[in-house]
Amino acid sequence: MSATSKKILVVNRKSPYGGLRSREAIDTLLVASAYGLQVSALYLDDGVFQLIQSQQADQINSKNIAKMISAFEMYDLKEVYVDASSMGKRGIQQQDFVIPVEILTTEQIKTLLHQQDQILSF
Amino acid sequence: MGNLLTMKFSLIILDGPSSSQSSQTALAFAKAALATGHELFRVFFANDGVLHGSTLSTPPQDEINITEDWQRFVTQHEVDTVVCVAASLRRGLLNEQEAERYQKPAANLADAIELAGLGQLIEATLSSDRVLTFGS
Repeated sequence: MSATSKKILVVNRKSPYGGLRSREAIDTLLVASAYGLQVSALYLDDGVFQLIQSQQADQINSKNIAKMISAFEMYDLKEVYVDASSMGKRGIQQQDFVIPVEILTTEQIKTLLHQQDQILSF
Repeated sequence: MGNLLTMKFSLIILDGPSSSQSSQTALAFAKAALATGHELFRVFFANDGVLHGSTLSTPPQDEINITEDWQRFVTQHEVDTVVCVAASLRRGLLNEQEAERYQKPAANLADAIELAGLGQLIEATLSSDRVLTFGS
């Protein structure tokens, strides 16, 4: 297998502003994509809050995570997955998100994880 | 080598030395991996994990100094070890060059550890059989 054909999944589980984990995961995604890798992103648990459109990060002197995520397409990062049950538990709907995503059931997430060569968990 | 069961591992460490036990677990894993003939391609400290690169960590003497333990381990075994540069600068971990560039009064990065970008993490991901992430 050639190195660049490796499939990499970045798992995002943390809330957008609870720490810097979300920011640094986004950096990793963008760098991986810039390297031309087959990289995709999965949002689950509190990580789903990162995708919410109406973030007012300037109110807490932070950079807007949703704005960074909306740049994914520019980086050719189009495979973005979200865990349906994490959304349901938090009362979040697809129209709340800043970019188009694919919503997956737990079973589908299992399949997604199995398809990866490497999984980076943030 | 030649052993089919030998693997090339890279480790990503996300938590700071005093924020969880995960870097102790990671160090135990790293030691066990080498002891059983596996290879460590790279150890990459990101997020708060970069603080393991500091030479200034000074816990009470009757407590474990996990920062020093990591530095001793990677020095002894010449493990390719990187702290994420952006995460490090943000948290006040600098080598001589960066201290000079940003006109800071001191540098505190351990000699055995390199300051580098996320490209090193991506390269490790591509070049290793397994990448393990440690962090809560």
